[in-house]
Amino acid sequence: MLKYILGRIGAMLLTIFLVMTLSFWIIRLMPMTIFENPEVSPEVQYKLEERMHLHEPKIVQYYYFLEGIILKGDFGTSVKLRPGMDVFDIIMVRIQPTMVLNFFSLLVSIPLGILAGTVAALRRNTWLDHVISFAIVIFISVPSFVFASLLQYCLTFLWPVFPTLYNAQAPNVWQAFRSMILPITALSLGPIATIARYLRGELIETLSSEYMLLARTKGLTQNEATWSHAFRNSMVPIANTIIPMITGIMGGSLVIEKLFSVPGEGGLLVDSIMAGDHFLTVALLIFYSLISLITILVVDISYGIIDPRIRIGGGK
Amino acid sequence: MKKLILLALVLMLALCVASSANAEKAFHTYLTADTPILNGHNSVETSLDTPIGYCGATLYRAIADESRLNYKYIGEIAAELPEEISENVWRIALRPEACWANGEPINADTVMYSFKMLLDPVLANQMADFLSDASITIVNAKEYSKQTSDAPVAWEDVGIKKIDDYTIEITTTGSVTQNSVCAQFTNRATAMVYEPLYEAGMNADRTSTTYGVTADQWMSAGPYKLESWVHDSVQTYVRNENYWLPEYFNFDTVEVRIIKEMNARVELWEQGALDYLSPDANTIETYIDDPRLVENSSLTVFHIDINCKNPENPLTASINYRKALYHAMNREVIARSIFGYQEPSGTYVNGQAGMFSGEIYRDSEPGLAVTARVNEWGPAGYNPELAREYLAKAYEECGVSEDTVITLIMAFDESDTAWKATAEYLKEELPVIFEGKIQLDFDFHTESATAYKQTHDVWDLSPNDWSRSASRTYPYTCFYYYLSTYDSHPNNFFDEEFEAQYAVCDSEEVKSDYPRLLEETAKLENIYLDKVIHIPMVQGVGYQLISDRLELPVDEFVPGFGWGLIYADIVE
Amino acid sequence: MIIEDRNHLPQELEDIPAEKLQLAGKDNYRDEAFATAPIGFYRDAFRRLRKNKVSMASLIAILVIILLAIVVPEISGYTYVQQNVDQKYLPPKIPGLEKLGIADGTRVMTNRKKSSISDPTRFPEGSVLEIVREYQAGKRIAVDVKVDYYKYCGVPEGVYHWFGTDYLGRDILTRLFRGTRISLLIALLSVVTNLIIGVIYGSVAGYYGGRIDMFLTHFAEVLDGLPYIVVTILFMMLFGAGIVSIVLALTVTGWIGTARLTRAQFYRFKGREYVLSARTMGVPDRRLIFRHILPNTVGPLITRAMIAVPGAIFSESFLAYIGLGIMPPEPSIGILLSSGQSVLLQYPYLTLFPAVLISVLMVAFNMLSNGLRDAMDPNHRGEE
Repeated sequence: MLKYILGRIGAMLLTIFLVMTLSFWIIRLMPMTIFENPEVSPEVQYKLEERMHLHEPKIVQYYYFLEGIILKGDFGTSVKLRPGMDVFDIIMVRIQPTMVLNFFSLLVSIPLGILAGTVAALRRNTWLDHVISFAIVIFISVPSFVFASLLQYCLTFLWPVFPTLYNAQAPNVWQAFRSMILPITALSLGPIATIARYLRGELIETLSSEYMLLARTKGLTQNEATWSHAFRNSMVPIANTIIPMITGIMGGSLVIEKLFSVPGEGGLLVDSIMAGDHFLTVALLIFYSLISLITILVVDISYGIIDPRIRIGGGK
Repeated sequence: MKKLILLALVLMLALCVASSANAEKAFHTYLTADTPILNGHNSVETSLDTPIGYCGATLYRAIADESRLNYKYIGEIAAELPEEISENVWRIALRPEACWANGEPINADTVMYSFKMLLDPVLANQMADFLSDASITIVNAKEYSKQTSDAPVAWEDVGIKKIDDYTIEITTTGSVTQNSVCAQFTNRATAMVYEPLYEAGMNADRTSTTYGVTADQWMSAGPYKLESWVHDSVQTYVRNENYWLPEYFNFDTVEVRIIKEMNARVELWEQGALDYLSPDANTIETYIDDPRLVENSSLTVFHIDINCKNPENPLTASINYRKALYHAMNREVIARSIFGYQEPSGTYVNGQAGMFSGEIYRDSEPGLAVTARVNEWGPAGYNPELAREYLAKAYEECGVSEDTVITLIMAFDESDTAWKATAEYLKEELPVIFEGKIQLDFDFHTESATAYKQTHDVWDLSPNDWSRSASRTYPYTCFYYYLSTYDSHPNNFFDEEFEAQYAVCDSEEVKSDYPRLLEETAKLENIYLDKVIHIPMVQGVGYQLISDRLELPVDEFVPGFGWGLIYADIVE
Repeated sequence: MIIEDRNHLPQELEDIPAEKLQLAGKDNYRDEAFATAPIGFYRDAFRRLRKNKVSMASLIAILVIILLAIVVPEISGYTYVQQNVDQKYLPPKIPGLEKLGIADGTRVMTNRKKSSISDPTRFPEGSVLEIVREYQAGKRIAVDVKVDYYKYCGVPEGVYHWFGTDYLGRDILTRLFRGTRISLLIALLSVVTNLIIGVIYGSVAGYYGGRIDMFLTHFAEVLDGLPYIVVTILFMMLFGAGIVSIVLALTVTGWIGTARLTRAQFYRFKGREYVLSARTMGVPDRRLIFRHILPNTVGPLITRAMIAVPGAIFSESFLAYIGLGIMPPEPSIGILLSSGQSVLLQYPYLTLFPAVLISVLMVAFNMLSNGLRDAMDPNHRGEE
């Protein structure tokens, strides 16, 4: 088991290194000036650039870059969006809204998805199943930002039920949460549908399997058998959907945060790309990779614990 | 039980009274992008005007005058208006009661420290020029801030001196008016900085400071203090109890939300959650008849720079080629339909230029003559026939065969919707006008146009919107950016005649004689038109929606002061 | 048996010269020919697919959209760049439907000065249809007025923009289907590239196994760890706007799934007897891979490709939304969506049409791939 975990962590570190290298080279290969201000004389410009080692060969810059991150945890300083501020600090300040948004989306999606999937499977081929299945297809298919625009248009403009924007200064928890309902909903619809679809398929298959019959013959009622055999067994592969779900939520939050003015990492990433704040962009890309890799790792390891068969294959 | 109900009732009543007594005058406004940092020394973003206007203290402050049609300067940190004690030396007395939001005094040392740090050659602050050389030029200030190792300048030689704890003296390079001295010291860059925090944020080699990076690393001194700042979300200001001129300000709190999406701004405006809205090209149509809509001529003439040194364009250096493009722009359509209710402009000096000197250049006789010349060519200079003629000449001049198709590259920032639409419009329109000889391709950049030009050679057209506030006093300074002495020259155009005429305008002799200055400026503008230094397109018109519940300090838009929203009162 | 008895064969039989022996019944032993045509795997799958109503509806929807994408931009009477800035933001106007009061080219203009209505320079004669509401706004009387927007903009009679026009007066219908064409092209190109790379990579890893497999699999695994958003954004920044860049960006990690699937299929089939016997007969590696093993994976691959198509369309619109799309004036569904979103409050139809189209397309591809998966499932083979 330890060897398995170490192996996974090794692969993860390798990927992070790859992300760092890729983002450094891709961003540094683009023509760019870091400081741009007509009022600054070329000499001062040179001085400013010197601070960032910009006049040394690229490979030396790469060394400084890696050294900074790995040895000092120094991702550099923002030059455009928050000039002078440490990139790491910028990310840390904004981690809370992003995490709240993403975490709540997960928190909402998993039980709702499970509920919808179970209901659809147990009431298979009834109108309830058809309604749920139809909703699943719509929610999986329509991009989250279309939903977000739609929700914003309908529920804040036509019928103002919810606040238009994220309220960072809410006087109480309820107000704060109220302003998060729409972004969370927009982000959750897709994941809910993903889980529901997966669980529905799994459950239907298990319900018709032989061991269910065995469970019934040994004297369990249908409900007991469903709960303790079918449901439990179907839950295991759900973890499979969590990885793509988290990446999906993170991708969706890039746009959603901007739409609802949530001061989180997603909006920051888009802004930093647009403003050409390259140090910040690199750090954010690493941040996003790290989050997604940690999720994968957690899921992988818990899988390894739950189901040793997977471990032997090493994920193959 | 009855007692309990009574108690509850009393409590509720008390709550109601308390809440109605708390009915604060809260002003709700917004920024389209958050201020990057609060350190006015090192950020060129105009969004910084908001927090520094409300929470910063400068030597002077512009307020509405009694006529409600204009503004005047009053001393904020300064006790009174500057006084010229000898030639080019201005004495500024400071108020003893001026202090920081925490009660610590602001005196001559604070001012000297703030200015010294702003000009510091090692810190290389981006806003240094706003102190050294804006509406007045301070002796040796620019030399000090941009000094090189082989020509050192000492701080003692700079024309900013402390006389005693509450007096400073400023020495200018030429003769200036009292108003221009005041104007210089109302700029956000000249706001005081709080020394303990500025020093605490300094790095080891004193090349940068983290002053103002977060709310905790910054100190308010103005009428309000920054209560909280959630970056990219909201800034809130509350009254500063230690402020010494509270009588000019009426709001109890100010909430500045950061709203990037126009839709969201419109929604909040419609819900009454914003007291102010500036509609964009797409939304102006909805509000064009709204009684709350106010408009004003802006300092900006939107224009397109032409690269005179594109290695891949055979016509690049030809004046005829530039003239052809000049006449090919249907400015009326672009200004009205694409920029949204703006003014077409075939000339470059903006509609506010000269207003501080008594007469707006565009309305003066020499200015009108130039406009007339342009309109003779066609509406705002648009004349496809002429454009084709000039292009033919350019082909001949550059020895390009007649059937050559030349593809111009227009570089622009895709997120700028009005320019993007203009670019798409021109991509279809130019080939039609030039019978297919000119085609247009795009190159997007996410960085600023200036930065793009520093790293790219191959481009032909690039939108620009420079505005120079000094042109309100000296109209000719619009052309400042096209001089060879300007560091980030935008278009590789250099011309001796143009520079000579600029120098004439810039001479003390002409500057002090305004009618003459207007004449010389017109000559300069004619040279600019003859050589087509760039293509002027649209004279900006600013539109604002201002809520009915605001009572403004002025009756009409005052250039350089605006509507004075910061001094407005709330009437319900 | 025969071998055991060999020693006991009569001498004369053993001495028969080889040339006298001939194969008996050379022409007589034949299997009876099938009376019916054989049903191949794909035929069978298609037959099952055809039974699935939802899948068939999806397939038809997709085909219709593809057809529209090909035909509409050619016959709409407008080109996708044809502009007329005097006629910008025209509302939808469809012949036939206009009589029913929907898509009749009218718009309620709110918040107009009452006096301006009688001003023919602002409201040309006959453009005002009805005053919806009259109210006091500040010192003036304001009205909400329903206008014939086509007349208001001076559009000649008989001109129709079915889906309205955009900020340069370009026909949305033309641009929408031109955009669909681009989006589908991006999807097709990226799916095909991913398939080719993935199949080759997966085949090599799966067929050769051992060290090569170990190396290739680990490499893919590390690459797969790169979050999809991060990779796409980086590559769009590197290559700049354009169709090719989007396809490349979608390819960087997009092929890994296909490779994994192919590799797994190879592991399943390469040990089968028929492969072993082909190998014994000296069939070369290349032929073994492509002729004998790969065809087995085609079913799952088709299903996978179908699922990847909506994914690619989605990615394109997502990239356009955050400002990393293709070059204007070329439209794509994503570009239209994002430019429509910026005027959602004023002109909701600019968002509505692309949103409906992308939703239909995504739903159809998802349903079709579901149907295909079921139809190609070998467990259901021969089922009715």
